Amino acid sequence: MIRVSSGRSVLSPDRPPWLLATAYAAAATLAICWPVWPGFMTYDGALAWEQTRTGVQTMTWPPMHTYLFALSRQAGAGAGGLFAAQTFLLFFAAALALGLVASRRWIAIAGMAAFAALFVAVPTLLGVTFVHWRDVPTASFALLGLALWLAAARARSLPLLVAAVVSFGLAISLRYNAFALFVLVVPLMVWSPYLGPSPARARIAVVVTLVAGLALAWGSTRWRLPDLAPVPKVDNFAGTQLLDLFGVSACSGRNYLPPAVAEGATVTQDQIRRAYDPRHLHLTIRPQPGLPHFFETDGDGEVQAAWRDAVARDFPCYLAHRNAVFVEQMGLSRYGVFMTTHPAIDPTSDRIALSRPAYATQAALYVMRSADGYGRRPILLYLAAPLLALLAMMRRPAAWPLLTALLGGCAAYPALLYVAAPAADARYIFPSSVLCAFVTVASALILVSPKRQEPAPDAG
Amino acid sequence: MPAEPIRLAAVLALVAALGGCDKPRFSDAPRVKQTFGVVTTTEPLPPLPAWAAPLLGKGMRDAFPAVADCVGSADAVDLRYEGAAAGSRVTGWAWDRERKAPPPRIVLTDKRFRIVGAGETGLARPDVMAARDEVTTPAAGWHAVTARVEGQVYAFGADESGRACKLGRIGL
Repeated sequence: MIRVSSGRSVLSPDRPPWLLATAYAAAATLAICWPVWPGFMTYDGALAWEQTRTGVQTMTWPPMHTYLFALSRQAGAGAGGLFAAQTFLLFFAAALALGLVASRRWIAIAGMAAFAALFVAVPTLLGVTFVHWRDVPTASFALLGLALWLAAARARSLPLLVAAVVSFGLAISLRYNAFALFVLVVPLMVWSPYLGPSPARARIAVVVTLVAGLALAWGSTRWRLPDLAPVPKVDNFAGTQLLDLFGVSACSGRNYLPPAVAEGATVTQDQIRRAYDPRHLHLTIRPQPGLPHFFETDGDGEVQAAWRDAVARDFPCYLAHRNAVFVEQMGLSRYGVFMTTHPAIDPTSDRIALSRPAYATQAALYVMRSADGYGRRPILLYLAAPLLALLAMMRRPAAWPLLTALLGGCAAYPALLYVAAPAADARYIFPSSVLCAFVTVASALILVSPKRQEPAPDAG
Repeated sequence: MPAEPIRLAAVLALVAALGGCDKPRFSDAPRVKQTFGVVTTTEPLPPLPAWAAPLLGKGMRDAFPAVADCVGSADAVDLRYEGAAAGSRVTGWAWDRERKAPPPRIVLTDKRFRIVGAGETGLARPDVMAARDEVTTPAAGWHAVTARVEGQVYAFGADESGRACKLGRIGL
């Protein structure tokens, strides 16, 4: 049997703080959801909500969001039910996992407070949590999977282990790219399901559940519930490719835009440069005086063909453009963070409205006014997490497998977005930002925890 | 010699003889035949509307820079001209939501959005009015002609003020 003998000693000897985590999550949910109830909503969220009545009509966005809304509707909780549930899950999972890492209960409580404080200190986290964006339940299920895994490892519980993998599968079904969060977690889970000596059946359970979960996540984007009717797959990458074409054209001086993008209008290089905005395709193609009207289209495959040509011929410009998107995405731009929140509910047929518009406005204003401060940007989480994790690993070497696996997710998620992000919205990095926030706090807890004797290599 | 080939040869000879004795038609009316839903005619391609002639070859949005809000479609290629000037006729329907009327002009472009044909609305399409509440006239249909006989064309609804909207795409 292969053993990661020291990994499990990172876990607290105390029982998981189920009740404490529940109380903490309830308080956080109340604080976040009450002012902006039933949650801000953009077009994506409004469509997912509409589809609970019309049935899933498009696979442009994974339908799992619609199914979660449908459960909320059936429970009589409206759209707000999902809003509260995803917020609760996020903080419950964080509290549970922190409680499993902290060596003392008071240290766990301090960690929970610090995790919540990070949502205020980095207002982008708070701003995204206010909105019905899929990125929030993705992060919630990812963190829940992590918490359940740690609980499974501590209790050597097969049901908790399976539940953890199912939770990862739910995260991936909400956002395909969520698998990047688990890029090192899953191998570690398979290698050592209980973060120490693990029976073969635990490994088999992880692999089988993982394969089944991924198959279901894939299937959920092909066939809709409840009638299992096939819904045509949509190529979502064309939007990213079109933004890339504007970026590469603006940089290289060569016009790669297919005629369909301007529907035959003559487009000059100067006009492309004026139009190009690395933050979002919609900002790039928005009507502007002196510019032709640009259309969001795949040009019947011409955008894809032009994209291949542009990347091959002007690769340095492609990198320069993707760098520009990444700088905006990570909050490195001198202008601030892009799309920190969405302070409204886009129209729905049942006219969902904010319950407390005045408080909602104040909450959104806090986020929008404070998120751009240099000391409050998401990038800081990506710097703090590896730094503190490194210190924690030095203090407690047993923590390295777990912390390294989590850092892998912190890095892989934005790395994938580097090439695939259709826009620089701050919400796209929300799951990895939350993971980084967790790693930051968990590492700090390890650092302040009294040093324990490492268990013997074969200790279960 | 086996009987089967002899019988087959006899039938073919009879068909050839009957075909040869058939009286040729010298009618002035164009000969029309229908293959796979597309009617062909020996008539030449009719002239484009006067407003369209100077636009041929221009980029669609160079000629019609403003974007209109409309619905419609390019339903079918309903006539193929095989006369001295060959071409195709496309049919469909269009409705301008802002004007609450069909856009008066129809423009056809090639894949590169260069103008290659034109037509006008006013064709009876009671089925469109029956199917869509917002359409309040039975004359939302259109015909448009192009000298193209193959490839894809895009159809646009357009008006005199330079507004246009894409209605659809169809293979000729």
